[in-house]
Amino acid sequence: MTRYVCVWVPNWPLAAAVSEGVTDATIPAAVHDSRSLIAVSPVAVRRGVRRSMRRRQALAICPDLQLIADDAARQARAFEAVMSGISEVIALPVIVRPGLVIADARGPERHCGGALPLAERTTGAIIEASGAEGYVGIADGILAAILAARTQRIIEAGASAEFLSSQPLTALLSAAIGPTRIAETRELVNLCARFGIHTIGEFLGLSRSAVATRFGASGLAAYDLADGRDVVLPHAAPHEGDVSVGRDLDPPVTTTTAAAFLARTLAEQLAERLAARHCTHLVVLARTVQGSEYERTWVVSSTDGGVALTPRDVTDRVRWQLDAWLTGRGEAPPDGELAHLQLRARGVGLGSGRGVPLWGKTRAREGGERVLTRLQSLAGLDNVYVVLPQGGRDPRGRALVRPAIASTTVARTEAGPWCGALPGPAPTTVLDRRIAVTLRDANGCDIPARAGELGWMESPRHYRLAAPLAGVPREGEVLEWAGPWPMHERWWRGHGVRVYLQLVLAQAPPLLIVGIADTWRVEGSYD
Amino acid sequence: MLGSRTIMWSLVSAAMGQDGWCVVVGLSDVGWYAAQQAGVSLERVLYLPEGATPPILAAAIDGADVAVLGPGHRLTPAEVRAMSARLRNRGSLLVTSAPWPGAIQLDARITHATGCSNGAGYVSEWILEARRGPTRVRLAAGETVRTYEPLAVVS
Repeated sequence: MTRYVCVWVPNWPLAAAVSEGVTDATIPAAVHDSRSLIAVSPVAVRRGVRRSMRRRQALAICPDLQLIADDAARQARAFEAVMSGISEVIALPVIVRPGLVIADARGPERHCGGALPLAERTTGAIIEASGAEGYVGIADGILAAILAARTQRIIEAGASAEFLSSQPLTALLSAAIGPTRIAETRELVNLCARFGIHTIGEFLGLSRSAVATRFGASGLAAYDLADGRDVVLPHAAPHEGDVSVGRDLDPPVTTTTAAAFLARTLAEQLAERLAARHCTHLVVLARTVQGSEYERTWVVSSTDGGVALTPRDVTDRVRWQLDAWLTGRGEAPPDGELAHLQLRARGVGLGSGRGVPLWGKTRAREGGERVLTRLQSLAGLDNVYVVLPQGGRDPRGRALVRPAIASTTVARTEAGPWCGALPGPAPTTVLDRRIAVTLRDANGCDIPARAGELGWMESPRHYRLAAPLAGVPREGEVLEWAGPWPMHERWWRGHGVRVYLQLVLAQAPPLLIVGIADTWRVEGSYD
Repeated sequence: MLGSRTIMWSLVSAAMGQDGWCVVVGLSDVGWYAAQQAGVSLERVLYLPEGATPPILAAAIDGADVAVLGPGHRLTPAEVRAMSARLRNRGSLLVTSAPWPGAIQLDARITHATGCSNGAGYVSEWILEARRGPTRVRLAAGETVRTYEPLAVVS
């Protein structure tokens, strides 16, 4: 399992307000999202104010409490200073949300000479760059890393499962991205609590299929996350399927207002290019007139694609990032005006296309998910199949039929020439059972199945089926035939040659015959 | 619908449209690639090889735009009537090869196939005679389904 390093800045909404000079660290203050408090300063905590209190209740306890409205743009803008500190130590950090950053730990660990020096240097760099206190956690898997950061721990390799199993189930909320997924996860946690399931270990004691039946896709995502599988981040390596839009800016952009307009048009262009596919990461890349480049990565969706973020959310992220750069936050602000801006969607189409697309119609998808869950609960989890189109040379291999629940089998890519594929329309019937056939030539001699291996053979004139097949007489005359098409695939794994043959019969659908290891058998028919 | 899966998949594809879902229940020996060639988007197909029970069929009719039912169902006449009422109510389409009272019945029979000639070529089209009541029509099925217009033979 991949080792991750997670940096968490506690109480970030408040820390951002302090760093922008909206409030002072010495007076009691709290940030609210117009419903309840989301961050409380230590001074206010000492006076008895707590998180998720109502505003009126908090003011009753502490009358001189300064209430600050939450501002997502401010959080993101101020976080750029922290990011510049982190990127001095860690390559390619990814912003999950302002205040929470995740990165692959393997490289930085080697570079710093161990997990402890890495944590020390990261904390130091953050304090130097922004004055904020960052908590660093290192563990196997995303969820474990996020939780380890809460307590500033370094979990040894292999010990993450044990660490996770004792954590409360509410910890799943910390790795949920987007309002929909957070609400779904909260519902799951509440329901489990009522069933007496309070820790992640107890949750993992349930069977995966039971969780899938009850909670659907979001339940599966939570289960995989608890199990230590990485459902939030795909691999960091650049993927060839990245979708990007870019624009040269002339005249160069200097003000945040101009940047906001730009962010909107670019986000819309990106949405158009992505069509109905979804992406997991958004990379914002800018070049200044001096030619230096700046780049930041944001997580916009988990790899299962269960979270739908609107183009507006993407616009916001781009706007915040541009805002941060243009107002000169961070250690090294861009050396001049922005001359080129590029947005790149990464992890496009991951999640096998079964999730909710990031953009486009979601109602049809949701309808499909609902009927899938309903059918699974009626027919049994393993009895509902999905069909995935894939590349291949024979008609049977062109579609992968697998239980909707299995997520491990991956379809072959459809792209590519697939040289030697069978020509013409595909057989409409592809038999699940095996029916042997004997073929005879004009002299009445049997034609062996190996006869066509070189691409030519005697003309078959007569056939006889070993078992009855609906709509086809047991034996009869062959009017016309085509083939043979020998197919020698995966010979390095010991697969033999298959020979395909088409027979046109009188008053019956044409048959597709395949010869495998000395026997001809019916592969399918055309009707 | 009896006798031709090409016609069946073309119907299903037309009824599914751009974003409809299809549930296939109790149908065996399915040539999925042919279904894809007929225009069915396989990503929006759910497949249950067996278990065509009334609750499953009801769930399929409720949730999907098209339900395909294979030949081997064991529904009582009363259940069939209930399903028909549900179909009318939901506006879904059921395509089945089992006898279904009150349904539009299409029969197809293959007459001949073209494209092969003594080992050369490949089956490019097969000619179907489709029948609905007294109406008969000849169709050429292959990559697409079209009406069959034989060439005039000039001696």
